[in-house]
Amino acid sequence: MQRRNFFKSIAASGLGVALSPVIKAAPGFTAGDEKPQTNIADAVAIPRNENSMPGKYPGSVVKVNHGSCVVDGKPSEQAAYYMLKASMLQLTGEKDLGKAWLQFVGPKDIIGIKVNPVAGKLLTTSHAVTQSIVKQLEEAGIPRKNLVIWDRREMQLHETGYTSENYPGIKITGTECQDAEGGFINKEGKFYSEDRIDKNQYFYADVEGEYDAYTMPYMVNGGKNSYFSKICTEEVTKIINVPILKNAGAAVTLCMKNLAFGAITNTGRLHQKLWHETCAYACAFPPLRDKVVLNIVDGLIGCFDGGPSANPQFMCNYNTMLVGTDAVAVDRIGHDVVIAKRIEEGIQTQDKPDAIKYLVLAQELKLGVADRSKINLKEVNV
Amino acid sequence: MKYIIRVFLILLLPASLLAQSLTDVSVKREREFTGAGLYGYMNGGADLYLEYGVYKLTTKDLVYKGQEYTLDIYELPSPEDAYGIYSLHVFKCLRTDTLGCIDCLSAYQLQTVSNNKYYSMVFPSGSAAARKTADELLHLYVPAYGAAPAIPEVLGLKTPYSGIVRFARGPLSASSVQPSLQDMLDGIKFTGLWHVTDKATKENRAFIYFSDNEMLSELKKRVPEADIIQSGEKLLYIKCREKEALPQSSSPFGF
Repeated sequence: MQRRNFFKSIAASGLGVALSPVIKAAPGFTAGDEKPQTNIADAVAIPRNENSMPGKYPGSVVKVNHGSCVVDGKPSEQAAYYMLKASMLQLTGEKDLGKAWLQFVGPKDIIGIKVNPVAGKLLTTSHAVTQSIVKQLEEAGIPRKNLVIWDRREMQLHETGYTSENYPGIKITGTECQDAEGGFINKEGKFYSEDRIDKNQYFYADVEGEYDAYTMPYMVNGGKNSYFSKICTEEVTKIINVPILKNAGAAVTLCMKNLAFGAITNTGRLHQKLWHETCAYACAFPPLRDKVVLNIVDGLIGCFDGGPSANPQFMCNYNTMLVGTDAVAVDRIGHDVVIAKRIEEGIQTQDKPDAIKYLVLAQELKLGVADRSKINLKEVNV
Repeated sequence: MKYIIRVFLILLLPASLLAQSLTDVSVKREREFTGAGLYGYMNGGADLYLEYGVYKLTTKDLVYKGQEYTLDIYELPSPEDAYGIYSLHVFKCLRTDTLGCIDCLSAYQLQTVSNNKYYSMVFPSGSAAARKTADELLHLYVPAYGAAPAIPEVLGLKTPYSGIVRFARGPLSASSVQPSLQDMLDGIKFTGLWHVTDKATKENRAFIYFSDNEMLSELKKRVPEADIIQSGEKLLYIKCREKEALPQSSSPFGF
């Protein structure tokens, strides 16, 4: 028996069954023919609040460009700071940077900064941008102890430099985690990650997640439910979303995907038939919909092909930053940036309408503005 | 002749470069992955490497002259396989096929092929200093005399080869070379596929080897007669019509 099949058989019998929750599905919602049912209707039925997406500035996106924000291959923290400052002032109309930030967060908030370290050291959310966010939040009166830097995989945060040494006083955490020896399973035989997921809040889709034993720790559970991380449901009161400007085939992986696939478990099953739906639907659930107050796309360095992984030959300096409260509108603008680069580099010859399907779905769910003609883009050159 | 050129170029290397030795290199971490153990290093991406027959990967985190590098050395069954996996990782190099090697320098990576090994050296800083010393460092690990892949003469190519000709060993790599080959070769077993894109005309051509003539005949039925350049014993040389890739928005590991 081959190694992977061996693991798969373990997963399918003992461990896999034990971890596959059997929770009856909520009434389904079918987005189109042949699409698996989901519980998106449940999410839509939950009343929105004043923080709900698309937030304070629907349809508004600020794009700040800085020709020398990458110095000798490295994002400049000084440049990132000024780009972020220019974005915040432009977005809010404030003259004072502190007041601009306080439109979205307050000193009592526990603020989760959702970064994206999945592509490793080479193409993580840059420390230049993250440190700038931290600095400006502090300058606005937010104590460091109220900040949490998070992602689904704690080990990837550490590998990419999101450590207590680099961010003293700030909690660094992920849903999926290991012990000091690299193990995923505690003394009771459960994944450590299980204690970090909220089994009361989940995205159901009628697609079975089946994983081998090697993959399971990264999925946390199999079955038909994808549970939200307690980081979103319990720990933080506000989320600042900081993805990287990357492609995913002829589409992009920016704000919506960083949130959706970064906040729930059991995602492997969702790619094939429900990639677009998951990007939109997961963001329609309260732990994301009602907490994400700001989206800051780190486009200082990004990639135009090979994403969401980091393939060095496809990385480039976009020298830009996109900021807005409306994750859908920000993604729509980011999509144009990435596709223009792909066309310029000869990767594709034209945009593909299907590539923004998730944005159209998100707009239908009133999460933001996907219609390009209705987006107010303000471009600033620093 | 190729060997003579290589020896000549090696002799031209600065004496200071040759004076460097592995004692100047600090190895922070070294790991080895064999066979399917490759999944432990690169998750689902390993399938492509395994299609080429990678049987061993040695990956080293290095520090050289104050710069950090990750050097991956892949061992494959043949120079053609090594070139094949290399050819899929080359895109608009800053510099190609210099120093007597088949190589490609990009902003964050230096890649090369020698004998049956593919070398990928990534420098996360992307700095000019890291790029500058990358050549020196790589030469400490790459043997001076390496067999080159046997690129079919019928393709009419001259060096530089990097970015011009690619080699596929199975369906995964063929679809990476040109996405439309996925449909064309569906169910067809082949043993090797050289793929060239003509710079001037943008025309794609494929030179395909088969283990038997049955598969050859099956493919000939799918290719318009006008697109067949040459047909022989267990081989077919064809034009490949372009068709763009479908959106590929997932990785097999949850993202």
